[in-house]
Order: sequence, then C-alpha cells, then structure tokens
Amino acid sequence: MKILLVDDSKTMRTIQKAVLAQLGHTDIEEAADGRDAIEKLHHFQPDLLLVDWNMPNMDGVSFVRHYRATGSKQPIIMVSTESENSKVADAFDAGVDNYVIKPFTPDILSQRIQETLAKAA
Amino acid sequence: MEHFAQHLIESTRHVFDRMLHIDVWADEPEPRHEPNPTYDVSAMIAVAGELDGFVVLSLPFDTARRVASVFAGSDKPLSDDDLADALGEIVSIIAGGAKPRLENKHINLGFPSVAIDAAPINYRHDDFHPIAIPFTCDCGEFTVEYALHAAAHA
Repeated sequence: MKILLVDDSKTMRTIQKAVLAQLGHTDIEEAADGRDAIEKLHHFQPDLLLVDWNMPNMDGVSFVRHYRATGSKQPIIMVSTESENSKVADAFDAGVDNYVIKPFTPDILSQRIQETLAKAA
Repeated sequence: MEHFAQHLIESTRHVFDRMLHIDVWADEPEPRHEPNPTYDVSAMIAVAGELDGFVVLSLPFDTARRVASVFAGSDKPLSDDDLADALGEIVSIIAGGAKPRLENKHINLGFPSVAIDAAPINYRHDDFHPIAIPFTCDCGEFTVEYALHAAAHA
C-alpha cells in the first residue's frame, strides 16, 4: 500500500511514519505542503493520504479540494490541530474521510488509519 | 480571555501526556516584565483575528533538546533544524489545543518561528503584557508564555 504524508513538520511526518511502520506500511512518500503534494502525485499514486491542515503555500483543505476535483477517490485522513466542530465539518465537506486531532496517541492514529482503510475496502 | 492561562496549562499537559508520555506540573502564571522569553530556546506562534498576540514555548537549551528528542522519538542528538521543527510543532499543538476554548472568538494561528540562542524573540511592545506559566517535568523546567489583546480592527 502506498501512503502520502503531507505535513510541513518533518518531525510530525516521522511520528506518523513510525505508526504506519508498526502497521506494516513502509511505502511512504512525504510532502511538506499542498503544493509539494501535487508535485509528488505526478510520480506517486497513493492508496491513502494523511494531510495536515495548516501549511504554507497550500493548506490541507485546499489540497483536498484540488485532489477531489481531479476525480481521485483514495481515502484521506486529516491530521490537524484544528478541533472546532465547524473546522472539522469544513474538512469533511472538502472531501476528507476521517479526522485525527493533534495531539494524538499512536493508538488513536493507528485506529483511524485502520477504520479508514476498512471503510474504503 | 482571562482564563487563557488555564487553557494553556491544560493543553500543555495534554500534549506532553499524549505525544511525549511525560507528566508536567504547572506553577502560578506570572507577568513577564523582561523584553524576551525566559530561556535560550523559544518557539513562538502568532495569534491573529479578533485577538492579537502570541504563544511562546521557552526552554533552556538542554531541556529543549531532551523534549524535542522525546517528541521525535529519536535517541540521537537532533540538528538545530530538527530541534526547531519539533519545538515549532509542539507550540503549534499547544496553542491549537487552547484556541477552541476561546469561545466566540474567531482567531487564527500563524506558522511557528523558533529562536535558538541568536536573535532572541523580543516582546517589547506597548500593547502586550506577557504572562509566563512555569512548568516542570522530567526533562527540566520550561515556560509557556503568552500575550493577547483585542485586535484594533475587531
């Protein structure tokens, strides 16, 4: 399974990679913001995307809208500090399939990944 | 707005518990009269919208290295860039956790900036009266400092 991590924090991507590795997922591409993610999609077709919201150049919700507008249906999990109900609703309206609020434990992220993949199967 | 210190204390405890598995203890918030954050290493995030201001995570260098390494899950010394990245993410999550508790206030957080030794953050501004919240944990002492006031255009 190919997974694209989109987060402007290298540390956060490392934390997420460790959780994914525990689930057996190691085919991972990283992007530092939405614009970088669009570039990476030219040569990497993910089966799952984990996307931060607040990033420079192109934020996560704008990226998700762009990605969905291309017709891509692969599941997306937003991983963000934004926790207000209205913000979470905005993310789902944009096309995310699941949502993880930072701070998270490895168990929470792992659970959301597994339930998202199960729904998409 | 007057309860923001308590929101930051709760958010800081939550972040350290969930992502670093470290207990932290807060002391009484106190006004910070000096023009800079308390310690050598400071990660700042700006607050904008109906409120203007900032939230700063300030740590002695050794504590900063320990906290960042635990957060990153690394047993090797972090480069300055990785140290800054980790501390910037931590202050983002702390401020992000406190933000929703400012009910009915529409505010946004900026991107973090981190000062390590050189070019320390300068608080000197007539409108800001920073508050420092001292914390202790197994990694050492640190502070979370903030200042907020109603935006002129709000």
